[in-house]
Amino acid sequence: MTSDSNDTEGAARTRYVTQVFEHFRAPLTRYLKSLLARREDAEDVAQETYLRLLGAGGLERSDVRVRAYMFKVATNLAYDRFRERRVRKHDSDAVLESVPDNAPSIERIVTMEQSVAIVKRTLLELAPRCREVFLLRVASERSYEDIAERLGVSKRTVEREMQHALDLCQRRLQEGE
Amino acid sequence: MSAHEERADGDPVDAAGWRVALDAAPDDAALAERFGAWLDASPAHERAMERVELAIELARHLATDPEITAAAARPPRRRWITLGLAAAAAIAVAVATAVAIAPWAARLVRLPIVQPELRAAAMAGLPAPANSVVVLPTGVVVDGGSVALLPFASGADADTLAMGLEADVAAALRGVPGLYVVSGVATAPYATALDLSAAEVGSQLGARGLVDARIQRTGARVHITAELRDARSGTVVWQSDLDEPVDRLAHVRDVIADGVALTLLGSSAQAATPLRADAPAFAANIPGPALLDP
Repeated sequence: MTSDSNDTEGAARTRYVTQVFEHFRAPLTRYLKSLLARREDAEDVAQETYLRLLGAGGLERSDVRVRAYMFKVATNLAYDRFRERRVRKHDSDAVLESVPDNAPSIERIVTMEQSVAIVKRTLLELAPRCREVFLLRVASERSYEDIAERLGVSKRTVEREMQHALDLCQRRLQEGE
Repeated sequence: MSAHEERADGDPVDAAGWRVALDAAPDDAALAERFGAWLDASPAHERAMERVELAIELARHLATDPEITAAAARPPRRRWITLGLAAAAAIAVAVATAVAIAPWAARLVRLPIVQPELRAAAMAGLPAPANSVVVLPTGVVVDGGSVALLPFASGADADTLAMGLEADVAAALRGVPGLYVVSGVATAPYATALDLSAAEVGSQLGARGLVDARIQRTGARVHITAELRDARSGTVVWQSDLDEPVDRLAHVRDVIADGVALTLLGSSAQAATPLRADAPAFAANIPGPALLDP
């Protein structure tokens, strides 16, 4: 493949990613605002998400996949901010005073903290097998077939357990809004 | 609404159902299109899907939370026990006995590690190296030959390479008598457990050795750094820095598997004395009584 065709392919990919990002930008920013509370923080993370999307290799030309990847990246960036802030919260006052002004304040990350607490409670509430299925899928990204084989159950059972776990988390998060 | 309902056309009725359906059929373009239509049909659908995705990402991070890990069922190999020294010594004897009576034929058929000395010794019918148990600073007792492969880190375009290499190294190590490998689902959450000490990670995973690796791809070449830390001290007892063509990943796997196996087996049998790369393998480490590290 020539360097010209690489450039063309790269430009086309950038256009596609930008187009999908713009399509979902408003809901993404609203979602991030619900986690970070401040619009500026939400827009900042959304912008960083866009940059990550541009840099991501192997992203398929599928709006659904790109959207899912967008929200995944954005959630993790928001979580990183939350986690960083929590670490600082446990440090000394002197260190706290050195936190840059643009870092999210304790108040701004409270929604993320609530969400973490809700999901944690829900995980503990799940039946052991359901929790195991859920964590095998989300933490180690095992396929449903792998999980079914590992647990000695059918793939359909794994899908049902996963669906139950997700639905319960979703409803608990909704109740917490 | 039930989590398991479907519409008359077979499509899911809620966000959780859609997420599972898309996961189960990632290449179904028609399903993806119908999902897009469902998503656009109502802001409530969009919000529900966002909550599902939020739950997934938070659960991924929470997988390392002590309460969650405590609640999760642990397979026997990963079960770790805090006991007094007398009980630990009893475990050591039991482990040594188990190793001595293990069926060698079964182990030989899955011995992919390439170190010639290891193969030669194993094929000569030598017994497995003596196992020891090690007491970590947390008070947790782990098997001296236990090793955890922490998720291999990678640059953005080397995710697949990293996952594949990690799986290959795990498979190679699993074939080595005397080694007990923790990887995959058990270690996946530790990709982000940066605030845990080596002793804490070792205690939670039931592993004495911790393998970290990072892969970066530049064109047709990959740069790999790998190291083995001792969970007792946190010190690096073996490391490797390789720059190879992409098609030489099998060699990279072998270097990492050999380095880890030789170091751990040497330190397991010789009370934490790391083996040099040129050290003889099984023949020099033939079982003595099981050791309990101080």
